[in-house]
Amino acid sequence: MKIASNGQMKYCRWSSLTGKVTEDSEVIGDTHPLAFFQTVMSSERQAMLDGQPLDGCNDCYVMEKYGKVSGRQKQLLKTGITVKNFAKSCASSTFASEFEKSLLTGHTDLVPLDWQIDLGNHCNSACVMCAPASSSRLASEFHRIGFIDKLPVLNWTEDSSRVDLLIDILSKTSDLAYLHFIGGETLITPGFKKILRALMKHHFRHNITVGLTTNLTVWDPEINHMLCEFKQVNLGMSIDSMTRINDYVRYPSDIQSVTELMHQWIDLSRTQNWIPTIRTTPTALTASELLDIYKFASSAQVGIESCNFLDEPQVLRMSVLPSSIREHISSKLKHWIQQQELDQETVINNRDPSHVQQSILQDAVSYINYLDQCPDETHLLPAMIQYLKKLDQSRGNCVLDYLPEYEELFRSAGY
Amino acid sequence: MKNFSDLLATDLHLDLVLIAEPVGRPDVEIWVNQQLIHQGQLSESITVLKQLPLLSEFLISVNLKNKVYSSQSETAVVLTKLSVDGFDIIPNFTHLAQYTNDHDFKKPTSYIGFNGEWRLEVTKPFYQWQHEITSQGWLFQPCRIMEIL
Repeated sequence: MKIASNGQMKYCRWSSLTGKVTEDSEVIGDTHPLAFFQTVMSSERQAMLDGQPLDGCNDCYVMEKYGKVSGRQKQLLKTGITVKNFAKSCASSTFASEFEKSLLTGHTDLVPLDWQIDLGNHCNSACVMCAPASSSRLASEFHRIGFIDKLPVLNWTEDSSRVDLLIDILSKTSDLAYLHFIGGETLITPGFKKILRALMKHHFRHNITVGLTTNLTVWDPEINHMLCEFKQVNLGMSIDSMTRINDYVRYPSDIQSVTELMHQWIDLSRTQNWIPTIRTTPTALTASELLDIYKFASSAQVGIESCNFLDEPQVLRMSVLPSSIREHISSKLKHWIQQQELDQETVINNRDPSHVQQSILQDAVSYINYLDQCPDETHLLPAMIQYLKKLDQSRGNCVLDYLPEYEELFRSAGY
Repeated sequence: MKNFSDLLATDLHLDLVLIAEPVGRPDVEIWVNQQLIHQGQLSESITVLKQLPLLSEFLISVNLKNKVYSSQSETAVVLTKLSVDGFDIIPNFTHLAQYTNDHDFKKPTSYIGFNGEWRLEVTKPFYQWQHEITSQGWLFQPCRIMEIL
């Protein structure tokens, strides 16, 4: 179950914006999270049991189409279900009898064991592919340059009564397994410390895994100290390039300090037996950087978990690039893959340290598939240039300083 | 199968394949659960194809008996294949079998050359067992009781 930045509760951390529940759903505190989970989610639960695909699962279906391990697959696996052996593994699931109980009405009397908690959009970055809902800094900029009419109010964790309600439920869930936090930038969002401090008062923290994603611009010893109190930490580190291109897309970061912090996090993770993972959000601007990211992940033996194939903003999708460029990037990835040993068996659980290398290679293969097969959207190239020009004007920046190899292409599209 | 109701109405089972090959003419018993599949001298390769209930625990046991070490030093039975629904347990998970023999040989093997029993027990529904042995991570259990910890 997920709580979005605005406090709205969602049935899945991966559900896409087109999903029914994700468009407009009830806010924690206005509705009790258990009532949402047990009753409001009945329609989605029933639809799934009836074999109907949910709109909110679209992103995952697209990922699977290109051979990318989807959130759907990862979540199913936690109940013992695999897509490969769906019928038998579903019938064998630890939850099979619970599915049966939910058949008629979709209702369940279970409690959630795995939460994604979006803390709000408090962020010190304004990544070009981000959205106001996920970055306060980008929201301010978008508002200033006229991309949006009003600033979103998206920090439910500023309301202590709502946070207290969440903590109360978590503290009463005997088998609570996982809490994944994202921002904004998780580490500077006040709600993160607030929730961690509250959890520190409970002994059950030793039994749960905490996950978080950071933009590698923040190091907070107090938070690190608290994280050490949990059973395990899944650490997601956002980076899209090992070069200055990262500074452009993850504006206004500095690649030198970003990589230094990344190594600091990796060292801390090794010491604490945490699971560090590189979280990339590949776009048209960073597609050519993927190979270096994969090579780094492979040499550092750090897992990689790229987001779903970018949906929004449309203009930054890789499919906006001309096929000649996509083919060039794809062929470099293929050349690298050919030098590796790729298993035929798909690794779904990419958190297992013994699967790190295979999951990196798998992710690379999925991007090869995507680059080779995605629908051509080069008609969006002028719109991309207009978007980047506006941002560059606002930031005193120039994309061509970072991507000179695209000068001809970008000039031809109006830069 | 279109939905969960169909799944409940479907009779699902596991397809077990076990291939045992003799070295010499070993005296062998092969059991699957309580069913004796083979008993006596094994003169040629035997392939066991068996359907097992999807959710049941199961036990595969191969016994080598009456080997006279002084005159039949190379006599053995070799398990060259053991798979369930196409998932190969031998060789990748041979270490999960217990091999109790008169030479106290403890190393994981599918080469049964000492008098004794080689047994593999799957003590939960196969797909849950497979999830665990292949390191698939969390396998959540239903949780409904709200307990004050």
